[in-house]
Amino acid sequence: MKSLVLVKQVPSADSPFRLNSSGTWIEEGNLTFGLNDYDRYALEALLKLKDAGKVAEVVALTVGPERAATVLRTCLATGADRAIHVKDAALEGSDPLSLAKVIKAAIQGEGFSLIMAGLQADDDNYGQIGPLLARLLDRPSATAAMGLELRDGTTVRVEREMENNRLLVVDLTLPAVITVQTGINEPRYASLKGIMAAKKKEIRTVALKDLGLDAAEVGGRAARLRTVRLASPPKGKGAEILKGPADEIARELVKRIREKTGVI
Amino acid sequence: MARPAAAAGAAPLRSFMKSLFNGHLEADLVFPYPRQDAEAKETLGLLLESFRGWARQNLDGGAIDRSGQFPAHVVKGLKELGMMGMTIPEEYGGAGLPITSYCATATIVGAHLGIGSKGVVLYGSAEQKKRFLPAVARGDLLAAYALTEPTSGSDAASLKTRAVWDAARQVWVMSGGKRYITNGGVAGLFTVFARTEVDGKDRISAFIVTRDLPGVSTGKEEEKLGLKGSSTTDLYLEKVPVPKENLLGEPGRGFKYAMEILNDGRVSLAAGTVGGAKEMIDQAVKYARERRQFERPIAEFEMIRGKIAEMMTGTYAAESMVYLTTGLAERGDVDYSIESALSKIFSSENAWRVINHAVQIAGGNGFIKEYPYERYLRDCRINMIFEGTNEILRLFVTLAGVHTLGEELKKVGRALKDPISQIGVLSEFAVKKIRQAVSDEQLPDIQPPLAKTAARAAHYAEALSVTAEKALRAHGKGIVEREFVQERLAEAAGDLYALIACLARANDRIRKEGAEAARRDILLTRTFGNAAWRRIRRWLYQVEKNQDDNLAKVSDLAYEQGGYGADLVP
Ligand SMILES: Cc1cc2nc3c(=O)[nH]c(=O)nc-3n(C[C@H](O)[C@H](O)[C@H](O)COP(=O)(O)OP(=O)(O)OC[C@H]3O[C@@H](n4cnc5c(N)ncnc54)[C@H](O)[C@@H]3O)c2cc1C
Repeated sequence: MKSLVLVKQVPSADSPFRLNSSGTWIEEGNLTFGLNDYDRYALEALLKLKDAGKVAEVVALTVGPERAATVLRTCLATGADRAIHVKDAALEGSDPLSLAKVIKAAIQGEGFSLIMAGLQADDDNYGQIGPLLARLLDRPSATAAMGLELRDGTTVRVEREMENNRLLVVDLTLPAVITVQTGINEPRYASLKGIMAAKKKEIRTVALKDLGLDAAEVGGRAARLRTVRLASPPKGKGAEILKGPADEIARELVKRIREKTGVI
Repeated sequence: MARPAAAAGAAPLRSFMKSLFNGHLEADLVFPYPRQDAEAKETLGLLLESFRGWARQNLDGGAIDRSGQFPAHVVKGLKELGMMGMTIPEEYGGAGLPITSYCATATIVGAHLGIGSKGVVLYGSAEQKKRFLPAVARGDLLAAYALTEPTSGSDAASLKTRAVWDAARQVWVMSGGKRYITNGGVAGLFTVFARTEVDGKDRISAFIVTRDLPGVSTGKEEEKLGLKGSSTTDLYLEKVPVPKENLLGEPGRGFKYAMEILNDGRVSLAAGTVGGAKEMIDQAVKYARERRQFERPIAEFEMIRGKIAEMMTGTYAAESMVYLTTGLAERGDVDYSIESALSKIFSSENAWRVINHAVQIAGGNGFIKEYPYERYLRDCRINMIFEGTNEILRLFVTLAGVHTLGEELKKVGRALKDPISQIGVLSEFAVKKIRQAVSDEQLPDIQPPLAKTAARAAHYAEALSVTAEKALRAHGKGIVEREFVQERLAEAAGDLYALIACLARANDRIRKEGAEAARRDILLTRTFGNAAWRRIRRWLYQVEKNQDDNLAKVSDLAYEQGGYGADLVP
């Protein structure tokens, strides 16, 4: 069974974030980048299946600029077998639908049975790629997977995370697209050996024209969703500071948490 | 990596700092600033990313410090990641990364790769490498470097451990004791230096001593000020039969090996201290911006700004030196012993200053164990002591630096006694002096934003060699006893090397990416330069005008009184 993991390079959380001059995104100059955290879990889920002999091949795919190749190398070093890098200047400013179309074109003919991705990207939080791709492929999808089990060659059982700590268990007919929640497993780290071995693995780079796509249909120019502004929310009035002796504060806090969430 | 040792007997290796002491700015050695080869850089980037992610979850420096123990799961994790084999050649199961890569993770694997197994990598026979390195690379066999003894520290050549050849058993019988051996309690392989008889002469040789040999044992774990997670013990050698296959390299060359291993060790150590300083800067900046007093973040106060600025510039300079030096090391055709000593001195003292500032910025919290500052302060103190104390290294810098100068002066001295037959030598020297007087040698291709700073550097490079030469003429061989002088020349040399490293690095960035992209490098280099050239000027001035006599008298006073002295009490 062939499997695919969709990955994205995102700014590391400890980078200094500053708005760019047009106020629509963050300035890239000072950022350091890394693999989107959710994607680590998606990759690990597939590597586990591969270790168990249930998946024959794990392929990593990203759409992004030149620098994004690094996350593919991270995937290869961690255990993926090969990688596909869709890279085209025209893709800058793509909306999620465009990206899903591009991914669909890039995996045409590959015959992936299991396609995984992170629930969302740490930077833009759209959380759309997985479901959109499933729709375009006319295949089933499940989001926020907290558990995953290949039943046989034709179905996969997914435990989806719901509110209030509940799980919704669904069976999907393969091929299927699944996005995972963090915490589904414990992602492994690339070892030096893996890093050295990754140098011999293939990264295929493809541009729009290789996919038979046109900048009029997909990419920045074709975007039907545009970022207007990136801003900090106005200072909220909702915050309340509890005053008084520590034990009283603690009691009040427990009471409110209980009322609001039912967790405690 | 080609090694200086491999080139022994060939033409003398070039040395940037030796030439500088000699009045030559061999700019081609440092310009352009060395860049890591792209593939090694990426490999290292991936490894570091992996390591950091792993460390965030698994490595708790505070807990290690409190318990004084390096947890087994951490060792296991380091092994699995492959950290134990970073610099071991690929054919023996390591990654064969260049020294630059190792430096970036120096603090992590410390003595194991830095000095413990280095001897086998550098001087081991093919058999020895095959026998030991794969296990070393996997981390199954940890390594240690055993030079120091109870009565032989800085004066390492006075070591007493002895290995006597037993022809009947075909083994070296080794007896003695080593002190303060890092990894002592956990290592399976010790690189041990011992006296031997070679062709009737008393010489130091290097041996691979494995823990399983009869007569090998280690002492209790020392209780230390810092680095509590590391193992430090005595190593006892009681009539240990060391197989002849365990002799490392050529007999009698052990001391040279011991020093060469430390050459690499020192750059790695320097790199480790740069890493520590950077982490402390991050913490201090965060703290200063969050902590409010007088209704403002303390970051806004100028005395805090001053500290942060000093932390930044010093660390930039230290980092520039380290990677310039590893660049020199990787060329394989230069002697970088002075540069690595200077990097170690400068970076270890910078880290100490930086961490001290961070403690101060954190106020009372800086003193409290709940915060990381006090641990960093304790952990970094050792760097000024081991792998050659900073005093010993200062002596080394100056004496190695003026050595060739001395050779040249000797030639001139001979020439002056017999001017006619030696006219060639004399005129060469005269020409050099005249050219020096007429035009300062300059750094090449300097970009406008750095022109003034570069001119200062060139000027003081000249001044260093002139002052060194004067000192040498004044004291002759006696300079060996004039430590005040040696210290000042070493200080000047250190600041100068640091400044040239900053210039090379910033200049390279301007050339490749333009002045705008390089604006941070330019600011840091200029700021460092402004402080550095003033310090250099003062050090050189004091070589001649000083109050050394008073300093000597005051120390005598203390020695005579056996301390501060009761009489001084008012
Ligand atoms: C935690 C730790 C780990 C260590 N790990 C190792 C290891 O793995 N392997 C190993 O072989 N050793 C190791 N050492 C030993 C270390 O390298 C020595 O302690 C160090 O070289 C200094 O030697 P010493 O302690 O004998 O001090 P001394 O040589 O007695 O020096 C005492 C003081 O006198 C100064 N001094 C000495 N001679 C002169 C001089 N000519 N001019 C001016 N000042 C001078 C020194 O700079 C120092 O300030 C370790 C030590 C520690 C504390």
